Amino acid sequence: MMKHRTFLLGAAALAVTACADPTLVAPADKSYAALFDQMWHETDLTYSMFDVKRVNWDSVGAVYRPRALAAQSDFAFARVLSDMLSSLHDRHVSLTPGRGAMPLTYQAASDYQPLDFDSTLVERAYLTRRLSAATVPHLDAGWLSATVAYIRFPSFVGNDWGGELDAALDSLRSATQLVIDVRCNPGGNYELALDLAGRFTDQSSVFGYVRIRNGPKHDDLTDPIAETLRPTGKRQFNGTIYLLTNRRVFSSAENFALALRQLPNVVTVGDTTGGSSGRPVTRELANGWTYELSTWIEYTTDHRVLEDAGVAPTVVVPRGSSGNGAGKRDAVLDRVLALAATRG
Amino acid sequence: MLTKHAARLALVVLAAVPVAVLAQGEPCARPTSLVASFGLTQSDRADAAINGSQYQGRGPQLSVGAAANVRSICIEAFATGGARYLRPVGGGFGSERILEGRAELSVLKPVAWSSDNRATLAVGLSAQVTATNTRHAFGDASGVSKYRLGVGSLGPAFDASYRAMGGRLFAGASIPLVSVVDHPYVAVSSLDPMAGLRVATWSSLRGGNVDLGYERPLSRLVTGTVAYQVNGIRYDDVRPVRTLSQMLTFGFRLTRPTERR
Repeated sequence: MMKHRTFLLGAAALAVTACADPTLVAPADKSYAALFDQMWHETDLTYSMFDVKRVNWDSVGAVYRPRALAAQSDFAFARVLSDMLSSLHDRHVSLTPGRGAMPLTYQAASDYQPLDFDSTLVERAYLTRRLSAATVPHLDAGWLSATVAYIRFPSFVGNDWGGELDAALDSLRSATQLVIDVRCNPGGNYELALDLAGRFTDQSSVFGYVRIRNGPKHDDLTDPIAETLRPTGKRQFNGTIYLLTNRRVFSSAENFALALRQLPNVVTVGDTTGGSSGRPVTRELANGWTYELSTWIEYTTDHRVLEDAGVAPTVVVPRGSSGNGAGKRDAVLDRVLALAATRG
Repeated sequence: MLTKHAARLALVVLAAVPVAVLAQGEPCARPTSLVASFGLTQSDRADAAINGSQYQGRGPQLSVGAAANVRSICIEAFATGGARYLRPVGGGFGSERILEGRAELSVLKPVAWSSDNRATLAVGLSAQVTATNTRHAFGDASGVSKYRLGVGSLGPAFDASYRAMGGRLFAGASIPLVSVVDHPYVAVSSLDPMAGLRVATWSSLRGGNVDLGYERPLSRLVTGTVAYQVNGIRYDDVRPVRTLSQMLTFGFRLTRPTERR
C-alpha cells in the first residue's frame, strides 16, 4: 500500500510540473501599420510572379503604406490592401476582409466584357437525350447528334467526383466524337482537373512545367517540375475530342485545357483562355483576414509562361460571332458540328 | 534554455554518484525490457509558414519503447505519437489539427556508477526523427491548408538514474547538433513533396528533449512507469518555427526476471 502511495505521489508531482503554459511568440500587433507590414512582407516572401508581372514590390509598398496608415475604418483599410494586391494584376490574388465577406479580387478589363457563352442556349437548342443531373450533378452531358456526344464541366470545384465522368462516358460509349466544353469554367481543384483529364488519354505525357517559389528572393524558384497527365478512370475515350474554350476559362480549367490540347486526338476550338495559372495559397493576417497569393509560375511544354497568355485554340472562333435575340446561335458549337460532320 | 537545463541536471546527477565507480554487474540503468505507456500531451506551436501565431492544444499520447544492454552499451529506442486539436492563444485566429510523431534511438555508454548501482550515468549519441502534419483551418472559414514539419537530428545524449523511494528516478536529455529539416516554404504541394528539405546546424535549429521519470516494481515482471517529457524546437529560417511538447505518461515496463535491478 505504501509503495503505491509513493508511486502516486511521484506521479502527482510530475503532473503538476506538466501544467506549464509557455509563450512561444509575442501576441501579434493588430494595428493597421503592423497588419500592412505583415501582408506586404508575406507577399514579398511568397508571391511567385513579381518578375513575370514586372512589379517593383518595394515601390508598391512605399506608395500604399501611407494610405494604409491613414485609413479611418476597416473598410477603408481593406480597400487599400486590396488595391495594393491588385497592382499584381493577378486573378489568383485576393483579400477576404473577415468572415463572410466577399473576396476582393483583381478584375482584368476582359472580365467586364459581355459573356459569349450561354449554357441554357446549348441545353435548349443543341443538346438531346441529356443525362440525368441526379446521376452526374457536376456535369452537363448529352448528345449533339447520333454520334457526337457532349460533356460540359461548369467548374472543377470539389473532390473525387471522377466517378460521375466514368458514368457519363459509360452512357455515351457509342459516341465516335466527343465535345468537351469548359467555356466559362473558373477552375477549382487542380488534382481533380487532372484526374478528369486522365479519362481522355491512354498513356502518360508531360503537358507543362511549374516552378514553385521556395525562398525569400523573388527569383527563388524550384527547377522546372514536370506536370504529367496520366490515364485514369474505368475507361478512356480515344475518339476525336473537340475542346471548347473561351476567355473566361481560368486556373485549373486552363491546366485541363493545357493537358488535353497536346493529345493527338484533341482539337481545341473557341477563344484563348484567361491566362491565370498561379496556384494560390491562403495566408492569414493577425486580425483573421485572409488573402491568397500565387505560388508558382506555370509553363507550356515549350517553356512559355502561361500567365496572362492563356491556352490558344487551334480553331479560332472570334468573340461576338454568335448573333443576338431569337436567332442567337452558339457559333463555337456550330463550328464544331461542321468540323464533326466532315470527319463523319 | 533547454541546454542549460540539461547541463544542470547532469551536474546534479554527477554529484550524486560516488567516486568509486568500478563495475559490479551491468551498469545500464534500464534493464533489457519493453515499455508501453499512455498519457496526455500539451502541444504549443508557432509556425511562420502558417501564420506565425501560437496554437495550443492537448490530446492523448501513446508511446512504446525498448531497452537493451549489449556488451555494456545501453541501447534505448522510443516512439511516441498522438493527434491533437489546437486553438490559438494570444488573440490568433483559426484552428489546427495536428498529427505528431517522434522516434528516438539512443546509444549510451555508462561512464559512472556507484558500486551498488544506486546511481548511474551514461552518455552517448541520440538520433531523433520528429514529424508533424498540420491541417490549418482559417479563421474566416475560407478553407484549410496543409503544412508539414519533419526534423531528423543527431546529437549528444545522457541518461542518469538514482535509486530512491523504493524505485528508480530517471533523468535524461538529448540535444540536436545536426539536423535535416523538411519544412515546405509554403503549404504542402502535391507537385514538390520534398521541396522544403534543408540541413540545419545548432546555429539555426536549437532544441532538445528532456525526460524525467520514476519507475517502481509492481510485480516480479512488471514495473510501473511515470514520465514527464519536454521536447522543444526553435528553428530559425525565413519561416521560423517554435514548438514545445510536454508529455505526461503512465505505463508499464516488462522485464525478464533475470534483468531486474
